[in-house]
Amino acid sequence: MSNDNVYTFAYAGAVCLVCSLLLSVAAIQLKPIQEENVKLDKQKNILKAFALADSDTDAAIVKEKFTKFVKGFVIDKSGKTVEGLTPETLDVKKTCSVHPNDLAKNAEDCLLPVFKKVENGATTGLAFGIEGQGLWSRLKGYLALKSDGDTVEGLAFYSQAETAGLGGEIAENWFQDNFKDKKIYNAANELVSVVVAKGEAKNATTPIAHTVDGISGATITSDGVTDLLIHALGMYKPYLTKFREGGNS
Amino acid sequence: MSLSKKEMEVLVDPLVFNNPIAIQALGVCSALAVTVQLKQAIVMSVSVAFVLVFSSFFLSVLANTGKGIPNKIRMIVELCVIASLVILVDQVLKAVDYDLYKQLSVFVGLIITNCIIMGRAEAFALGNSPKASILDGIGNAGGYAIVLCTVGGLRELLGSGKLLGFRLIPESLYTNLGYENCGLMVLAPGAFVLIGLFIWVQNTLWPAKNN
Repeated sequence: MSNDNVYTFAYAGAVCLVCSLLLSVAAIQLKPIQEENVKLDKQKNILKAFALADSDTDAAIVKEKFTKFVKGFVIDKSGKTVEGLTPETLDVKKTCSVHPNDLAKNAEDCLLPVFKKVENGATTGLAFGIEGQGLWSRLKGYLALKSDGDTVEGLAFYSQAETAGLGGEIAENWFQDNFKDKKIYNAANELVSVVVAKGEAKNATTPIAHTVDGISGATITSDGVTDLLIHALGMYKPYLTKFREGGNS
Repeated sequence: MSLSKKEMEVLVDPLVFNNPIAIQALGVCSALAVTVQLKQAIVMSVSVAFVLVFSSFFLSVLANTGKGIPNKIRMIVELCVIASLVILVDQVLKAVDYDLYKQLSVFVGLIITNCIIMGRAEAFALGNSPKASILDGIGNAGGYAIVLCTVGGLRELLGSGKLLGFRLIPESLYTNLGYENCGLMVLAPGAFVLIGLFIWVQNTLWPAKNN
């Protein structure tokens, strides 16, 4: 019987060794391509928020447009630009999280990436990362504003795992298109963000300029989007104030 | 490579007469989840085919060499081989088509639990030669693919008027004749209905053999 056990253990060990060896080799070989894909996907979604690309845009065009039109830089919490750093070189550990649950955990001197859309030397838009909690998953995306720092240019979610057909609709064009031309500041110049309504925007209590149609059957995801926009915009508020005053364009 | 009559049967039988989904009722869960669009269905079919063929082959080789797989850890070894292959598919997909990876990653991971693979390993690969196991894998993957792609194609066509992303039902039909997409087809119940119909048609045309 002991002989049988020895064989069983040896067999299990050999199978594990071969399998793990195979997977490690595959993972290491594929890693550079995968990292390139992740980077490209982020660039594509920034372009999507800026309305410069859509989901089907080719990788080559994404690369070209990103280098041509998008300039990334880094700001601190007070909205001041930090020289010598770009979003690519910014250490993840030093980056502020804009997730509502993480805000309290952020370090005092954490930094934020910002992307500017530059056309013919003039800044025509502004984009930054947004992140928050939906029903099942973390929602990650980008919000782009026009050069007035008030009107929404576009919104793109690049990572979510909500219920397909319900909350998952936030990744669809019809939902994201609703954000276009909405305002994040009200007439009194207060930052009110954009609210996802319960049902149709025109029946909501908030003004139509700050409200988009909700997704029926996906209240928690919709509320999550409302919440994450308020908090992300809150983090960028000092910078937005400066940007709107024209001191930082 | 010539195939004997028995081997031909192993290859062709699961395509229709012993279809894994319609007759053996294996792998139905994934058939519901990934058939919203044809492209997803095709990628899922290819991934399952890869995993099924190789797991059948490797497990058959393991079972037929030396003293074979120790019976006490038979299923663990099966899972180990299957899981390794699935992770491999997942990693390759992440490198090759990132958009599709984002959509399908959850489901690709779940190939591990797809009963077709474990089922064919237990029912066929462990007791047959590697060559026959490969044929059995191809046949069952083919049968799975037929159902998946038919359901995926119908759901995309009826649910969003497109096939592989190309619009087949012209816009003018919507605006002029008031044609509407069938919203049910986009949701999981649409797949239930279609697979149910599929099984009905199949059993009417070619009743399952009672062995």
